[in-house]
Amino acid sequence: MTDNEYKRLFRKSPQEAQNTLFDEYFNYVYTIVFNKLRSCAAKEDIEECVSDVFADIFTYFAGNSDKNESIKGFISTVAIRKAINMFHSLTSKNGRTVSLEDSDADNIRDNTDIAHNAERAELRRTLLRLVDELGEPDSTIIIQKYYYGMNSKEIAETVSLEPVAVRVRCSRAIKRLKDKLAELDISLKEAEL
Amino acid sequence: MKDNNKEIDFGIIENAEMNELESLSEKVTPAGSDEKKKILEMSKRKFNTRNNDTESYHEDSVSGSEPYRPRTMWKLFASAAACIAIVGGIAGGAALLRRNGSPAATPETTTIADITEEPTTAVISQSEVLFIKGGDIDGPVILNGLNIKSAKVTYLPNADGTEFEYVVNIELDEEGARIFEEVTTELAGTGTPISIWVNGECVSAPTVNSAIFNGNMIISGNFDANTATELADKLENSKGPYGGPVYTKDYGQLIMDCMADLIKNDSSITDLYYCDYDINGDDVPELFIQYFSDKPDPDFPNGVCELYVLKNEKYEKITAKSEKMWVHHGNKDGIIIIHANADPIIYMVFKLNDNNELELQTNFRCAIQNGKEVYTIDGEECSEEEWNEELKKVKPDDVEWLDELAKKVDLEFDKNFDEN
Repeated sequence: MTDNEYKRLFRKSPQEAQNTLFDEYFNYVYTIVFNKLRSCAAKEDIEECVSDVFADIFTYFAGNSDKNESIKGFISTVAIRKAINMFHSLTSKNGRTVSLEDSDADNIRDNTDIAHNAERAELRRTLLRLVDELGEPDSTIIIQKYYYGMNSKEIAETVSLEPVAVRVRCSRAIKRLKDKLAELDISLKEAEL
Repeated sequence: MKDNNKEIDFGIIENAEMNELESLSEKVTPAGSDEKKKILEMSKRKFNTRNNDTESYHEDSVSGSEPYRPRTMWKLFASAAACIAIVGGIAGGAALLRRNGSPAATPETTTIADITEEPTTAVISQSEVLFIKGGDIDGPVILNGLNIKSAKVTYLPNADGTEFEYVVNIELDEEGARIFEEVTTELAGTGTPISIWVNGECVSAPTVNSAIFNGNMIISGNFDANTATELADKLENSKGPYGGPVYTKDYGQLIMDCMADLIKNDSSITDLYYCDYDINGDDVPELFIQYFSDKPDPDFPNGVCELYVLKNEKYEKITAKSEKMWVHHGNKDGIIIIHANADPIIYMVFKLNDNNELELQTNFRCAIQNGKEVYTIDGEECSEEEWNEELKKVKPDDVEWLDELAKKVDLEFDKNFDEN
């Protein structure tokens, strides 16, 4: 979808245009926001953030812009920035933020551990690959359950299976995934991260 | 958000790169449909509040960090403040000692003023507002007063920015905005004005420079604070076209009661539209109702129309079920044309007399007899052409009451209302 297409639709029916845009990019925006905020935010915060992103996008396109581009890049940028803002405002209470007036403000170091990050990235890629190898709909179920924390009923709806079948498939799939990880001698136990 | 599974921590997926997220988002739906719907609503609500209330939005969004002050200054201030506090402590103690001797303290009396406002009794008269294509009141009507969501007075700098002037800012409803956009797209650059008429008086006839998409427009033209407010009030309190339902008495409750009864008696009704419209000029609205049900009458698959008139403080049905009804808009001649049924085709022309009774004027009928269509007017056979011609004389082609005036009833609301 380019922004001109959106505008044409918007002229015809604003409601419909917004629904279409939302439908097309909801998964994308939610995935981005969730990815940034998973560790620190409650579900409501994430919903808040996603709706903020869309409200921003609607507002932007209701104004004037003369570009004719794919709006995906724009949407992802808005989503990332909103998510990061949200992350900062949520974590500021947790002592991660240091006031400039504090005496040790000068001693703030960048804690980024490049080696550790690279390792994590590698692990992440491996995990996603292995989950992918489980095949559909198992990989979807696994991600929805363990990453997004959705319940069986919600999962059942998106993969069009019965909730019971989802639970069965899920427990089998997680076992297979564990085996695969064990084969590669990777342990992803929570304590080690 | 805690993992249910202690063996594998999917938190590792956090802070993934964009391409990973993109492929993930294509494969996996991240949330249930309920949540999705909820978020869509939230987004739209936020968008709407921002759009409708731009000023307050800007106020809300003002944010910033506190200015930084050197800390040493504060230390000085702090110690000075501490000194004062100590002195204050001593003085206060002394005062307390003295006060203990005289226990008679003046009781504090507070009077709570009664804040009861006089109910505003001002009767706001409704005006007739029309937006017309071209500068002539006989031109095609684009919008009517019902399409106006709000009209507000705004104080704006004029074109060269040297002076301020009062303007009236009109916001249209969704439908109005859509229609207005179509018309402005068509008229943009043609020099044909759109004229705005209030009670038969042209208040503004701007030409269109470019299409207007968002349904917001500004009327300017040498207003002062009073005239601008007056116009805004008129626009905001306007009602439908054709003189619209402007009655000296409020019949709203009676109309609602009538429809509540209808819903109570027929629970299969799924959609209900109504239109209060005075057709015989007696300043009492007649009530047109159209409804659709999930168990439709086999004779009326496309909904049922009924006409109710006010008799003894109550709306009573005076027509049989019919498929469609027309009236002569604006004439107030009491003529009602009823399309009774699909087969045989029957059009009946009635006149609503002063006693709220229907008098049959003409009966058009087209029935199939022996495999041949037989056209009759008042029982007399005639040719198809004659029949159509006569029908055209009484039944306007273009106007059907429902299209322009009907309002939809929120059934849930009415059902609840009924139960209470």
